[in-house]
Amino acid sequence: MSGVMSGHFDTAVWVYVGTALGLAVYYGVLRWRMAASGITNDRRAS
Amino acid sequence: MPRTTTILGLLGVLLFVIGSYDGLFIAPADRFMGDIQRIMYVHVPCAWNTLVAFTISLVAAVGWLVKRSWTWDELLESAIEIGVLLGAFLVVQGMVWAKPTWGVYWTWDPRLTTVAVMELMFVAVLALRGFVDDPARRATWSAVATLVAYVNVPLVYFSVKWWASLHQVQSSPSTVDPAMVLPLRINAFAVLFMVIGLLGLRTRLARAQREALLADNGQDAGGAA
Repeated sequence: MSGVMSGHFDTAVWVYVGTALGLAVYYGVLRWRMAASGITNDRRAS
Repeated sequence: MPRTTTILGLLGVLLFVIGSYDGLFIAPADRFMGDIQRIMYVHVPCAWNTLVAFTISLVAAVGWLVKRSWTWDELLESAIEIGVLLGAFLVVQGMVWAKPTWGVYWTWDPRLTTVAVMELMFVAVLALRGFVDDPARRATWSAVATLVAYVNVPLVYFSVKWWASLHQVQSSPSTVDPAMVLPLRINAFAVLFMVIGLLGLRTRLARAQREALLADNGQDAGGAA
């Protein structure tokens, strides 16, 4: 088992957290841009 | 349709929580890379869906050039923006994974280089759209540019097969422990569903912006150019 790496679990967790935060920020910015363009009601805007 | 995409987007979020928990806490650590390999369960789904988003933009580009319907142009703009976003995640995740395994954050390996070129060319398509005011001309120019940029997608996919690469070749379920396949599959569908949910919102924004622009120009904001 030589060459086995250890100690990077926290790094992996932060990659997931960062990806989730990135998606959340994009969603928030998208909603803000939609509101700025006058899109406020999901069903009516269809 | 917005309701369907919203439901799919929420389902994607739920699946992402489940798949990520599985990948981080249930799936076994890789025999050689240890826990850092757990990045795969978010990195590979982002990679697959980056290519899916750019493929949607290719279909939209052809759709615009054939039908001249604004719906295709709205889809093209939305799919490229979301593809570029996922591509950025993909690159950062890969860099974090590369440092402990390869010793460097970045190297001009065929896979990394083709991904970088693909990402930059689709960013260039978005930039091109920003430079053209006339909506019809913008749609046509960006559709043609999308056809050119899409050449990178098969290059990215086959780069690890065609050229000697540090990056590993694609795995298949027959070569991977089933306990590792499950979170990979869950997160692949999770990201796909989130992409569909975001596309539903982003196309509505593109439509509203295009209609406002056409109204400012005194043009008809109907369904075809």
